[in-house]
Order: sequence, then structure tokens, then C-alpha cells
Amino acid sequence: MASNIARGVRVLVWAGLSVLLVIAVAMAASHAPQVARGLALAWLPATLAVVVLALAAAGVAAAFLWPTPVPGEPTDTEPLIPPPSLPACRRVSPVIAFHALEPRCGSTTLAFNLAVQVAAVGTAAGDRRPRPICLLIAGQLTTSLGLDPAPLNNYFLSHRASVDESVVDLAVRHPSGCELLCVGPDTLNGQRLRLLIPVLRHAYDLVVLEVPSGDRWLTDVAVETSDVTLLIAKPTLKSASAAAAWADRAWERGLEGKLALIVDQAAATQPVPTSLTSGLLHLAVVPDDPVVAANDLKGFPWVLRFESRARDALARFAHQLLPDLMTQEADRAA
Amino acid sequence: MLPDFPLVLEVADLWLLVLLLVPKRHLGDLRLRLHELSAGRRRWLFEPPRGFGSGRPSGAQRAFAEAARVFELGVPLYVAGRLAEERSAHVRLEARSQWPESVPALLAAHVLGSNGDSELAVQLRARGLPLPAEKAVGRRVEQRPALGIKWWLERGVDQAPSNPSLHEGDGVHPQEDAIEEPSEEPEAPLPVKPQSPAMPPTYLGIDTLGRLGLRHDGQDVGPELMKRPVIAFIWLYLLLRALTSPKDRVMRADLADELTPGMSPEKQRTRLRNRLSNMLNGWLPAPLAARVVVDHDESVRLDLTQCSIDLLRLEEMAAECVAKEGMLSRDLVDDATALLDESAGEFLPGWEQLEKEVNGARGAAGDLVRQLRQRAEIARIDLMGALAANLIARQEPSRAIPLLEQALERQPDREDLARKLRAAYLETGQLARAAELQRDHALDA
Repeated sequence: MASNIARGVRVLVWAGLSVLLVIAVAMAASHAPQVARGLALAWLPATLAVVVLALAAAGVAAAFLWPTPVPGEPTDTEPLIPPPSLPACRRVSPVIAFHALEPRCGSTTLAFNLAVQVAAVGTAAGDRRPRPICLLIAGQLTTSLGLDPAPLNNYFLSHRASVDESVVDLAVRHPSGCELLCVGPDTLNGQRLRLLIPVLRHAYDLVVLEVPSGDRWLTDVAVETSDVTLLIAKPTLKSASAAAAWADRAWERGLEGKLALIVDQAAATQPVPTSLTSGLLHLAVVPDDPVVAANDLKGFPWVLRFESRARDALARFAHQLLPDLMTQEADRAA
Repeated sequence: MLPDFPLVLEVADLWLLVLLLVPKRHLGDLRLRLHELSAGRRRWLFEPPRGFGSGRPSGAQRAFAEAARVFELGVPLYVAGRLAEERSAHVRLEARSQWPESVPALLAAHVLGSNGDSELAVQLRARGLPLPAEKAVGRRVEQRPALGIKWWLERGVDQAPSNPSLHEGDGVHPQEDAIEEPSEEPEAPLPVKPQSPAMPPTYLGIDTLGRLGLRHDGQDVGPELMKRPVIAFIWLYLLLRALTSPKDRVMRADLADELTPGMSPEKQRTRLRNRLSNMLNGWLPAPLAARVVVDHDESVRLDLTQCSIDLLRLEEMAAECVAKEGMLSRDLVDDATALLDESAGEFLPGWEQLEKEVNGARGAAGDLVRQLRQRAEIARIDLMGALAANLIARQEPSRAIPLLEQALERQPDREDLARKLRAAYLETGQLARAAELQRDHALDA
């Protein structure tokens, strides 16, 4: 709607300016015989050129009809998504940490769908599908997926000083091949995460960790133990403010190389604030996509939907982030 | 004063040409837009034309929308854009036609429940693609058989840095003996313990830890029992039930289902009846057969009066020592150490093989065995902790350390043991190890 109004205003302005300009030039030419002669010579070729251009445009418009919209595919204006620029993570069993910069910015769904993407089309050890694990903060998506934070919480209550491989049995296997663990509000702390990560790395090819916000100790441990830290933001000033704080700390501690900003829900009508992207070296943008919300409600990974606009962006950044798991062969096979 | 009309037309003509040539959009990201279009990642160079996606627009509406785009972009850019959009549409159409055959689409159908595991496997195999990963299984670290307590005590004496004189002056447990202890062969025939003359003739000694020993009247009937796996399974299952829930009765139906799971109830009962008949008619050694009680209410049980079971002795000893909360008498320490040493092995170590042989390990008896193994382990660790507490109370922390280390290694989440070990480290001047332990077990300072 806003785009249509802007377009109308633009046409009106152009038309008004054109009328004024034409009248002004015609009045000036009536007092300048040389200009009038030039106009007399130029009008015929100009008319011919206009006709040719108009015919060309009409021919192209007639030859290439609009494509039929795919059912379920968004038909609004597509945001322009720049190619992602993310650090490559080449360690065996890498750990990717997701930190949300503001509530409801999509960190849970991005973490889940990244794990599904790797499980679905990645390759590990040359000829098998990887087995990622994804730790998700309890919320609407985990409810849709039927996950419960109680088992992990109880596990930590009964294993205060150690984490053994029986924790693997608590993970729920998703049919795509990735495994999921639900993290309650007070389930994780720095010590538990430090104990948990080596066990998960031993059992899985990739650890995707959504880190609860608000616990500074946990956040520091997550940054320290992960190979790449992804800050999930929305294109808002609130996210920009949080990202600036992260950027300051990252540059102070020399962590800027492993920090990346993911701007989620980028829309054509809402430009990404420059203050959001200016402090960090690595950036990826995920477009706003109604398919995401619809599938999250059902607990279905939108990365398996053809009509999803965000799927392509996620696939590209997964490929860049995890080049060893997301090989070209895997892409072709997919 | 108005200008000449023909002059106005001439100027308008030229201006129209300019309008048709010059784009009126910001072109800074044009290259990226064209690149994304040609790769099929976008559908439109800028916005979709007005009316796209909203029903079926008429020809006039389409013409108007396209004219607006021509005006906005200028004819050259419009033509280039439309060609790129057409290419994008082709790329996307091709991708869409191939999508149903792709892995994500097959998985999507699988997630939605349209195709089952086997169907997905067939589809992926037909395309030469790997299957999704199976559920990860936590690596089960088989617990090491417990080493003899003497060996641990010797090791502690060897390693105690604060009091080397203990090692030098210790002639009671020479090193050679200590090393030989864990290497005792588990397959060796059970040494039959001499029975006290005061024991009644029906007395039965049941050793379950480390090996199965059924001692009666100076003889071990365990090997004889194990020659008949089905009979042994039934007898041991009754023993397990008696140990886990002494007050519960084992109904015949339960026992039959455990023995031959998956069979029809009639067949199960027939087989059990035959087996019980065999047991009571000579197949089972007489001292063991005498313990089997078939009640009138269709239940079966073991009579465990006048029995000595090592697991229960261990638990009783552990409870008694723990209750002392510190210093223990010399006799009690000797008894506890001896019992700990004797009961070092796993509870019914050959159970898995027997269960697999008899019912394919499909029954629930394995859970009972696991439960009892855990009970034995807890009792051992409690006993070690009590012995260590005794040594600390007697100002011998260096001798308590190996006991606590072993106990903590076997059950790392025992915070009470970690605290005792930390105290022992501090008392023996091992500050670094104390700090490490405090950090690893998140102990309060």
C-alpha cells in the first residue's frame, strides 16, 4: 500500500515537472531562433526514437507474460539480500551459538532450521548425513515440536558435577535426522554448558546452541566454547543498540573474527539501519517470510519448503558457515 | 504570453524521449539485483508489477502496470530487467519441477508423515543418496570391575606425597601381593568357603557379586545350575524378584511371560509348567529346589530363610558404617575392608548372556539386574566413603585419598565424597589438586 502511494506521488511529481519544463523550454525557444531551428530539426528523429522504444517495450511486455504465482509463495516486494559474509567453521563437530539481540527476532527458528538443513542435505565423512544437535530455548516453536525442557533440567539436577553420555539419550530425534534438546529458563549456566559441550561434540557432527539471554556468565562461556557466535537481530534500532554493545566487547576481546550478525525479517519496506551493520565484520541477511511464521506454528521446518523465501538465504549462509558439512556435492544431491 | 503550440509539441517530444531512456530509480545496487535475478533468487528486478498475485488482472490492468514500469525504469533497463526476470522465471520453474525429487521434498513428506521410514529409505537409496542419521546413542562406558581394595590402599600409600615413610615402613601389604590382587582370574573355580559348624544343614550361601556361587554343605552348586540355562534363568529371576521386592509375589503368568515373551498365554503356561515340574523333579540341584515354593494362589517364590546373600551383607555393612558417621572400630574396619574386597565384582556378571540365550533379552529382568547392580555400587561407594571418613577421623588423610578417589571416579556426582576428598587433599598439602577438584565439582570455597 505504502509502495503504491509512493509510486503515485512519484508519477505526479514527474508529470508536473515535465509540464513545467516543457512550457519553460518552449517559451525560451520562442525567443531564441537557433534553439527553435534545432527543435525543428530534432523532432522527427526524436519521434521515431520514441516510437521505436515504445514498440520495443510493448514487444517485450507482450512476449514475456507474468509468471504464474506459486501457491503459498509470497507475492509482495522482495527485499534485496546481499550475499552473506560469514566466517567458515572448519573444526570437526563445530559449535554454532545463536544469541538473540531482542525478543522474537527468530533465533530459535533459525537455529532449528539450520540444524535441519545440515541434517537434510549435508555430508559428513564423505558419504553419510551429518547428525547435528540443536539446543532450543523453550518457547512456542519447541511447544509445536513437542519438546519438553524437564528432562534436561532433571538431568542437571541429578548430575551436578558431571555430564556423561547418557545426556544424549535425552535428545529427541527429528525425522530430518537432527536431534533436539529443549532448554528451560534456568536449565543452563556457564558450568553446565562447559560440561555439556564436549559430550555433545563427541556424539554429534554439529552442535547448534541457542543461548538464553540475560546471563552474562553463560553468554561468556557460550562465546568462548563456540566456534562462531551468531547475533540474531531484527532491522530495528533496538537491535542496533544491542549489536553495538556486542561489537564493542568483541573488538575489545579480539573476538570480532568469530562474531557475525544475522539480520532476520529484513523487509523491502524497512531498510536495515546502518548502525546495525557497521560494527561487525560478518553479516548475513534473512528476508522476512510469511512462510516462516506459518510453519513455525506447526513445528515444521520451513527450510524444507520450496516456497520459502528465507530458505535460500539460510542455505547460502549454511554453505558459507559450514563448508565441510555443506559441500557442493551435497548441494547437487539436494 | 503562451509559447507556440508546435514548439511545445517539439519540446514535449524530446522530453518524452528523455523520459523513455532515463531510469528514475536508484541504480546503486542494480548489478546485485541483476545477479540475483539471473540466479533465480529473485523474481523481480525491483517490485512486482501492480496487480501481480491478486487474482487474474485484465489485459488493460497489465498494460497499465507495465507502462508504469516502463516509465519508472526507462525502456533500456525495462527490457534488460524483463529479460532477466524471464530467465529467473525459467530457473525457478526448473527448480520447482525438480523439487519433488529432491532430498528436502522427500524429507518434508516424511516429516509430514506422508511416507514412512522404510519408504523414505527406499526412495533415497534409489537415488543413491544417504539416509538421515539415526538417533545418537550415548556411548555406554562399561564400568571397570572394581579393583581389590588392598590394591587401592597400596596405591594410595605409594602416591601419598606428604607421608612417604608410610610406604617405606609398610611391610604388611607388599607390592607384589598388591599387584597380583586384581589379576585374579574370574574364571577360576569358586573357592568354597568353609562353613561354620554352627550352620544348619539347610543353610545356603549366595554369592552374586563378581560371580555366581551357591554354597551348600561345603559344595558349590552354582556351576551345576548354570548347565541348564532355562532352569537357571527361572531360579535367578525368582532371586532377583526376591531381592528387589521381597514382599511381592511372582505370579505364574508374569514368570511365564518373562520366560517366553511374545508367545500365546496358553503356550507360555504349558512351558512354564513343564519347566517347574522339571525343576522340582531332579533337574535343579536339591538345595536349590528346596527353596522354590509354589503357592496355591498361582504364585512362585524363593524361600530365602537361612540364606546369606553377599549383596545384602554389603548393604547392611555399608549402612552400619555410614551410621557411625566417622570413626569405626578396628573390627568393623577389618570386616568392612574384607567384605569390600570380596564383593569387588559386578552383580551377576553373566546375566546378559544367560538372558539372551533364554529369551533373547526381551524380558524385563535386565532392568532388575541393572537396579541391583546400582544398589551394589552405591553400597560399595558408601562403604568406601565411611572407611575414608574413619581414616580422616584418625588423622590419616593420605590413606583416605585413594579410597575417595576410587569412589568419586565411580560416582562423580557424589558431592559429599568430593568434599571429603578436597579436605583430605588440603590436609595433605595438595593444594593444586584441591583447587582442581573444587573447580571440577563446583564446590563452595
